[in-house]
Amino acid sequence: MTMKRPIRIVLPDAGPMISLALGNVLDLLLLAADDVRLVLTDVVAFEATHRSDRYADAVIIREFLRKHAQRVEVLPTTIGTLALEDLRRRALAGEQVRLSKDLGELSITNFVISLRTANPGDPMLVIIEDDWFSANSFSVPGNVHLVSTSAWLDGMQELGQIPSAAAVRAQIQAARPNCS
Amino acid sequence: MKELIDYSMGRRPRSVTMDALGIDDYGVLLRLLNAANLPHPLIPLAKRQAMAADMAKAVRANRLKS
Repeated sequence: MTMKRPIRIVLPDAGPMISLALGNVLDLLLLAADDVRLVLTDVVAFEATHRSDRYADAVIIREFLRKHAQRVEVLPTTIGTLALEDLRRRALAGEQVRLSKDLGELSITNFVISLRTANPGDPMLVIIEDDWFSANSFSVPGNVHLVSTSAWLDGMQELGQIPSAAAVRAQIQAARPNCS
Repeated sequence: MKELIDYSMGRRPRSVTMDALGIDDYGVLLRLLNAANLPHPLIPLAKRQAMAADMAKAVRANRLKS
């Protein structure tokens, strides 16, 4: 038998975390296996949390990441290295900052392309929102499993970790504007 | 409303939709879809099922390792 390695759930897109935060089901990210490690790109870590003074979802994500800090890793990316330093500095100075609209998408694509040279031994589930897949398609190494958020929920149901993926999706779709 | 419908149907990218609506948070976009009773974009069922099966297989295979 080959040696077991922790499964890594990789989030190059803030979308899945924001969706799950809307349904108050972020903890599901850690349920696929006992030793799941969560990996966020630096762009996602910034995008998902830097507006925690304005959005309830960002507060939920920030608290989730704090609570599970020992299982969370933030991965530096080329796009993040180029873009985040200035945004962080401005945010610390109290300015309202936002990622430029192309930066998030560019960061996802850049990360997925980088997976072609990923360590082939590490099992990795890469979760990206469904909307990304309508315009993008990439081949990745066999140890990397690209899944959409909804497919991941279906997979969690198939693994017996949740009773119903449809029920979780319905919970996410129950969130309304101006409600936490 | 047209922007939301197009996004919901997978005909318009997220960033373009958010730009058109003047919002900077994806959570707000999802809540607007919900308020309009529009479904969130979903990949086709066959592709979703294939992804879910692949994921479940990978997790099960990893559980069997020692």
